[in-house]
Amino acid sequence: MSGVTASAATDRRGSPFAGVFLRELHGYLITPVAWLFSVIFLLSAGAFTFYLGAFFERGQADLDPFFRFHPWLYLVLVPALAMRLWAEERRSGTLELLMTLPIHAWQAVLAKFLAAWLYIGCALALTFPMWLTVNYLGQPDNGVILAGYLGSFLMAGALLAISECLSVLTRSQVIAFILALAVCFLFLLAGDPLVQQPLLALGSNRAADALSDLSLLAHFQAIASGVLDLGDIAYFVLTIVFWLAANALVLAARRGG
Amino acid sequence: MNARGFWRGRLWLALPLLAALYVLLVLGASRWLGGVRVDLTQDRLYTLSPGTRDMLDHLNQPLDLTLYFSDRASHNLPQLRAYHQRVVSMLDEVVRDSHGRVHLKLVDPLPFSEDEDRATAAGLTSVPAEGTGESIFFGLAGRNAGNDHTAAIPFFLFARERYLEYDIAKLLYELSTPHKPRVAIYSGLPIWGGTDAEGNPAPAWTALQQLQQLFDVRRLDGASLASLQATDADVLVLIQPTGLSQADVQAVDRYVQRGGRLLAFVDPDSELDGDTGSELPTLFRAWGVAFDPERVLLDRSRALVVQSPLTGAPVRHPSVLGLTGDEFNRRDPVTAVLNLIDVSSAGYFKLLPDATIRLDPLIQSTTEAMSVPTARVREAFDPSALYNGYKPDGEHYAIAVRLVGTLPGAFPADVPARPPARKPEVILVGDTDLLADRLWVQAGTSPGQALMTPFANNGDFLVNAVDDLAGPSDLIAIRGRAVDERRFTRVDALRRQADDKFKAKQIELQAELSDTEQRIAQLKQSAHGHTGTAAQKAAVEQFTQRKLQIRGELRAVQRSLDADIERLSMLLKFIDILLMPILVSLLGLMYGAWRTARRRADGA
Repeated sequence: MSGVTASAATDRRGSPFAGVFLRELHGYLITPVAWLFSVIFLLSAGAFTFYLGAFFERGQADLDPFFRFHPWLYLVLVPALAMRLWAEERRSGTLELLMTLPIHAWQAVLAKFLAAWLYIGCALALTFPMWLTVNYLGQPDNGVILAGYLGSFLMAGALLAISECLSVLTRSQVIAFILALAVCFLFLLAGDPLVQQPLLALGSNRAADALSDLSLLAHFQAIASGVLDLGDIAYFVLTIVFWLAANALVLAARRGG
Repeated sequence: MNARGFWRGRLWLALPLLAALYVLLVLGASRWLGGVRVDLTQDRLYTLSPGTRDMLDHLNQPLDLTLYFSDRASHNLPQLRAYHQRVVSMLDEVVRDSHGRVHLKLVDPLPFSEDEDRATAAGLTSVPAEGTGESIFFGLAGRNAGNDHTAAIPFFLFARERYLEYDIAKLLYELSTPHKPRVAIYSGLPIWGGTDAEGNPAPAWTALQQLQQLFDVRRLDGASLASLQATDADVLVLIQPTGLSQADVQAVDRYVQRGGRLLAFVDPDSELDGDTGSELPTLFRAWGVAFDPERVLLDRSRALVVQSPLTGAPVRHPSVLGLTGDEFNRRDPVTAVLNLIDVSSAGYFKLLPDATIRLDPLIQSTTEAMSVPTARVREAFDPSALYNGYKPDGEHYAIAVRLVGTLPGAFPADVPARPPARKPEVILVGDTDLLADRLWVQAGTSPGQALMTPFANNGDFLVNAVDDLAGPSDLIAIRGRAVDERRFTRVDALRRQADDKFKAKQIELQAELSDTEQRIAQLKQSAHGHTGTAAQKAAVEQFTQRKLQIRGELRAVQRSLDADIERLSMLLKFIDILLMPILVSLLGLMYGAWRTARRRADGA
């Protein structure tokens, strides 16, 4: 994708924001890695649902065994997709080029984020045969399924924002990936005993509860149960905005330097 | 250089600030924005139902609720904590919709604290946490501030999650009603105790004692039954009512028609009073329900082991049944969380063809059941004799049912002109032995008094049914919502089809198999252990061959039972796991090839 220069894209499409956004989207079409991402996502989502989740054997008309594995699929795949977002630009030197454009750092960050999120959204949408299947087999609660898709998409967005921000810290894609994986894992598990135990050992229940309010997994599960709570939605929006803002700050600082 | 230094400084300043802001905003969002919600579920599982809201609108006294939750002790029980959140959000909703009449307090009862004593005094139970062994409280204590009336939910069981709203609404109802529900019982069986056959004093049945603890129980005799009014009792319980006159039956019908709640136990073969019949089936017939006292259920797949009266050896008795799991209606709060109900020589209910009501089974048999004349069970000294000629009817027989819909009056003169404010409700049970101690409790020996330990849920079933019937119509509307089970209807249909197609064949083969085995045994017996004639040997050989052949055929039938479902499963796995990845890969390859071709064309 770095082959297509940002300036060329802007020239052709007018606004620099749209330019970066379209350049990114185009990038997903021409890199085999991006295609591979959707294939692996679709393959493992289906296989996990049927084999680990025993979707068919349990005989219940809902997509619980399908959504249950999304956090763990994203945990690996989203950092993998996002690791090159900035690291690649820094390594190949196109970042300097991008920074010469008449574009704010936050615009560049947002454009890259939206393109990647849209791309993940497309991959998620391609799981629609699961939805057809469960409707063929029984009468599921389609409201709950809709909520599940919405929650899954929001969670992917939050993990993506985290991974994108961490990608700007390093030139190495591998380091970006590992860093993102670790932070995403902590965010997923913030409500889990594994993370809570040390805090509780210090006798701080309040801190432990506050930490579980930061847990991606808990908020995702709340939405996927079929109820859109403003608190849960605000959590995802805030998480995305915070990490993108941090990303823009770091980028702006680098541009300054 | 200046600009660089400036940005660097700001960056390090801004990032921690941003992080702090984020944490504050997220915590604030979950505190202040939580609860504003769109409920996407079809059954509006997360919204208070009209029944609960109606009840809240009619509260006329302030109610204080205290939710005890062992916050500190439950830190490594994420599922329980999540459920606690759900309970809190539902209680918040109750408080919001109560026009300021319901107050909620959240308490963490620490070990050895006054709060813990208060929770226990309020009737809450604690369970030891796995691993740490600390006591976990998770219950709701309620108090009517007007009259100091109290009630509690001892523990929020996860298994009753679907009935959370029902349970909370019931607590509110109990708090706002001034007295315990009044239960009137008429029984033809010695449930009240007295003296047994040898003249020793016998205590009242344990199931009855349980009822007496929870309700205001009154014993009816023939005279008081005939004059019973709908306002005299919240629930009328009839247990094998013998010797009813026409007037008594009419009184029961009148009671129900005027908005009474009836729980009736009838038994084709009550082991405690011989074989006295009851007049109730005539009444049932008028309502549209058939109950035949001359038929009893056998169910070999649920037969319990009893001591054979003939030999003393343990034997599985096909009319003494331990019903579990799938035999209970999980959508009805009466049977939702029961594990085991033991019945003995139970009868069953059927809907008459011209009935205007619906029967909702609460307890049913498996499809391995068959119905036999009552006399056969009564006269069977050896339970294993009941297996002779056993042929399952392939039908779920309803042992306990709830009547749904408007009941037609058996005596038109008694039907009120206007429908009563309280809707009539009827539950019928086709067994009375299930109430007797021997089927569900064991007397332990503790100093002073006999301690009864239950080994089946029969007593819970009685309490649940009476409790449910005593509630207001609003509560019953909430219960109707708790439909959640969504199954793969298509798979079930396939299974039924396969059953229809192959079950007959399977039964036929099984019959032939046992016939063949019998013949082989006969032939061997007639040979008296010696080597028989060559002809006999050949016959045995021939039958043995046939036996193997039949067993092979049976296996084939068993396989074809699942073949269609297996095929469907494979097809769906292909579509959902492989199809999309294949299509996406093809599309990607085609796009790549097209780009290469175009680039080549451009280059040329």
